[in-house]
Amino acid sequence: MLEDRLLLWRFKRGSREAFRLIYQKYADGLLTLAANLLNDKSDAEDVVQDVFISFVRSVERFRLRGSLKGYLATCVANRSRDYIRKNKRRQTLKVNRAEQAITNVKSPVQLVIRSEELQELSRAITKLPYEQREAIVLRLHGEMRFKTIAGLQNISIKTAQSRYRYGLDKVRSILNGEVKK
Amino acid sequence: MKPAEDIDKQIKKLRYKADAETHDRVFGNVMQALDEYEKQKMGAAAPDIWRIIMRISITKVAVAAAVIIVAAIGVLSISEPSITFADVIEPILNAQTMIFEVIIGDEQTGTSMNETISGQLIRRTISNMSGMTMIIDLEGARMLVLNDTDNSAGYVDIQGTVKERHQSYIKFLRQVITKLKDNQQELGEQEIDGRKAIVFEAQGRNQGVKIWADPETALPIRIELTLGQMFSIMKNFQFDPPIDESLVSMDVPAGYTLDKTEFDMTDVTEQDFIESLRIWAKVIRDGTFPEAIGTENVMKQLPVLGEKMMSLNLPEEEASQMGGNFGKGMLFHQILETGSGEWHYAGSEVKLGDASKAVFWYLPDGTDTYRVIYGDLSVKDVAPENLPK
Repeated sequence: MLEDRLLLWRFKRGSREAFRLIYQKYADGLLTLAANLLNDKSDAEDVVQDVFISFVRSVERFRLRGSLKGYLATCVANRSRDYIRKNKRRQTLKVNRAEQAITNVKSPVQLVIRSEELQELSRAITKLPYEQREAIVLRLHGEMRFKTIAGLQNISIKTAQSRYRYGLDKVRSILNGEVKK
Repeated sequence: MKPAEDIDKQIKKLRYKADAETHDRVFGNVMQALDEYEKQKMGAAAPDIWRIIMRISITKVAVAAAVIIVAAIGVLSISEPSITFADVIEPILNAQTMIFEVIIGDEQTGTSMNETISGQLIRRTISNMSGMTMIIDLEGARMLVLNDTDNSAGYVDIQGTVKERHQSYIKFLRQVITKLKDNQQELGEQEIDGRKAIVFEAQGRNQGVKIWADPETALPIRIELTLGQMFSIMKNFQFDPPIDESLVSMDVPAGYTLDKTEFDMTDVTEQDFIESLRIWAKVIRDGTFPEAIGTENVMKQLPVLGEKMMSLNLPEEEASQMGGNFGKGMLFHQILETGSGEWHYAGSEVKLGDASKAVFWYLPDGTDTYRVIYGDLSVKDVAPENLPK
């Protein structure tokens, strides 16, 4: 936390090395978050890149209130949702194609994990409604509190908890169904 | 997998680790966006800052600092013959008046000056100092600084080093043409700014020049000049245009109030340079030496210096002295920069006061021992074999 504040302080004074350290520290985590939210490697990279660009452009005015990690994760979540909204048609086509050839299409996460079981799990998560998937991903990969997730989704904390719980239940069901196959 | 158990822990294992190529691309794109943003910001913000400074009229000599610095940009010591270029740009040999633009540094980020030359008189405006005009009398070694924002005017003497090292661009170009005769290299035809041009290049020991000339009229379209470690671009030339005498008059225009502005410019010393390093580190950079020095960087920093002086609320006289000292000291470096002297800057991110780190060293003319300036601004004579690595 203190290290992040020092890095931010240096970056605000023009040190690009400080930004490089911030990038190195958080880029993989943010890419994981975006990849699990968007289910597309290229889109995830675009979102993370856009978040960092927006960050470097606004850093002079930036005041860190909580953690830098939380701030960047929130930006990725917001931008991912915008991305999906703007590209809904494209996403729908992508989902349809994915459903048609589910066994052939691998998400970015699936591409880098070798375990067949984890690949099944990843595929199961992609089948969740976006709100449930988002609640799960933000909670488990973004390490966000339900209060924060609720704020992001503009819902009550209880609803956020429900989305998370129902999402996990659905993943279990999907996996059980696939196991039965 | 046992789906009912620890599914949250399993989900946490779904991590995406990008390869080095992906990171290089994303990080590179972010840095590129930052560069573009900073260029836009610099272009948009600098004149505004300058206008504020000029309006409250406190830092006339921050202005004068700029005058001092840019005054030496006409420096030329071409000593190496090079391109047979005279035939192509012969018209320039006879030009009595000339208008053109000079960019110090990179075309996208450098500071631009508009020059109107009539004989020994130059009218100059600078892109990041809106509202300010300089009239320079090379023969009389004087400058008239006009502040259009509050209609004030001031004279600056440029005797001594500045006068010795300053000359008009017309004279300078004539030297290029006549002295670089034998080592020219024609690079053929290229398109520049949508026009066809014949390109010539010549490299001297410490100078380089690249010239794009109109194949029909033989007039230069663009000249890129490297003097030591300083790079500049000249373009948008007009040769022998009619120039109203009032534009280059050394008289204070009607309606302007004359301020008394005095600077000792007769000699520029190492001590002046050290003082300018101190100002740069302490005032502009809050205690840290800059990443780089040099004319291009100095010109970019002038509005920042003015802004800092404003925020420090310094008395006008003190602010003026500081601006003048900054410019004068950097002139010492500019002489090294544009000449063939050996120098090295190593002060990036060094803290002011750090006696353990060398920030700058140079080899004075006619000596074998380097002068090394440290972070605490102390100076030592150091043999070449003992220079910092």
